[in-house]
Amino acid sequence: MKKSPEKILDEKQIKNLLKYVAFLDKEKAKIAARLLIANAKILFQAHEKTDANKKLRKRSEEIEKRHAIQISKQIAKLLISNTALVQETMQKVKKTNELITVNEELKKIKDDYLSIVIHEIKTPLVPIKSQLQLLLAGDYGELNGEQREAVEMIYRNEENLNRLSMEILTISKIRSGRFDLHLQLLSATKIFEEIVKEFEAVSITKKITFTHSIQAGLPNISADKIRLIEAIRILLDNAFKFTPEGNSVNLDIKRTDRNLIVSVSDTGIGIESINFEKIFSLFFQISNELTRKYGGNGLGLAIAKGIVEAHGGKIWVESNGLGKGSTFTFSIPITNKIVKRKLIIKTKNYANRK
Amino acid sequence: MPIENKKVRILHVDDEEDTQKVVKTILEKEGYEVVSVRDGVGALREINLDNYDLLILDIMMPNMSGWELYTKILKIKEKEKVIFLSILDIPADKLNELTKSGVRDYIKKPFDRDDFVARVKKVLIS
Repeated sequence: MKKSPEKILDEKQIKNLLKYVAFLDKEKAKIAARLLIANAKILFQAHEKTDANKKLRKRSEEIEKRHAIQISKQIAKLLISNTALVQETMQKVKKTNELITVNEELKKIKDDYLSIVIHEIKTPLVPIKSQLQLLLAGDYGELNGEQREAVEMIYRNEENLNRLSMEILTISKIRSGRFDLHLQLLSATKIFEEIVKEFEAVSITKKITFTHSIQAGLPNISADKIRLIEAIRILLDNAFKFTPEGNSVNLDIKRTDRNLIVSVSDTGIGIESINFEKIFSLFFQISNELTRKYGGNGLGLAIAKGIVEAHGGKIWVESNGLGKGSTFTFSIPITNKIVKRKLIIKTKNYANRK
Repeated sequence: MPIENKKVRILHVDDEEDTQKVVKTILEKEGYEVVSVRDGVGALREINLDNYDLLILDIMMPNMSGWELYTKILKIKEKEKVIFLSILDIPADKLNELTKSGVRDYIKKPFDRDDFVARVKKVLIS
């Protein structure tokens, strides 16, 4: 019996080839390997049978052999093309991975750069703030009316710059995923009592009615106290900012089965539905006119969103339209376990209109 | 100003001259004696020479960071009262770690004068 081993792949050769493929793409190659080995076994069993009856079935054996050669050839071809495909895919994956790494490195450099810049901006603010406080406290002598007004104006602006730099740092941390929460079990009721006290004072100065309802028996929640208060403060700050004198702001805190729900509503300027999502994006401000009138830098709601999402929650806004007030709500899952969450934020940039 | 405050000596380490000056002014107005140095080397020299009731350390300084300085101080005088006064926004777990290692407070710059003075006093009487 003439055999042409270079044309027919035996089981061992096929297995070896398959091992090579498996090394490249485990899942695909495993499936292919099982199929092909099963095929090859049938093929060789067929061979053995024909050998045993070779005298009787010499002719049919030859046909079968020819068949076997053809099938083996096809298998080999398939195997080779599959290997090439796997190699190509692997190369693409490798290239993509390289690109991702480069991209992440660039992002990191950008974030580091930003935090260095912010620290450089804050450094001169340290003595500026202290000296202004010393001046205002009369440590360098009493100020007359005009002097006091001037120093107070500088101080106000210094504080704005300080706040802005801190907010930019927070945003850069949120966006780079380096925003780490200090989670602890907190009494929800206590947090809200603190913030209510703070804004009762604001409501008196601004002549805006401040009502609040806090559901009795709120559960303990796993949260970052400082950040959570910051998120509520941003919503309340905005509500008081965009609500005219004589109107009202309401804080409502309750629970559902799984979530703690915090709502801040006002009877202020309202929001068009087209802006419901955009309003949470970075540097978004509805119009220049509003910015001039009410101030702000377009970072607050993006920060609030970042904080809420880092806690595994959601934030949204509802409004019946311009002039009809608005309600900002966020929900945070109630859990008594301290769970660290990985923060993933999809960011869309709606550039500030200039 | 209470007389016993006059005896309180504070060492402030910060490479920013203006910050040194305002910290000194504010604390001297409280009746404390303040020595300012601009880096870790100067701080270690002072600590070896003299006794201080409180050390106020910056973190980002040339040559030796505030962290490094702190570990070196612990080797010389482990019961020294230390407050960090820094512009850095440090992560919460790092802050916990520091408190555990004996750091009394972490005050962020730019600071509010009244808050700063109150926290310094709190550490001094502790």
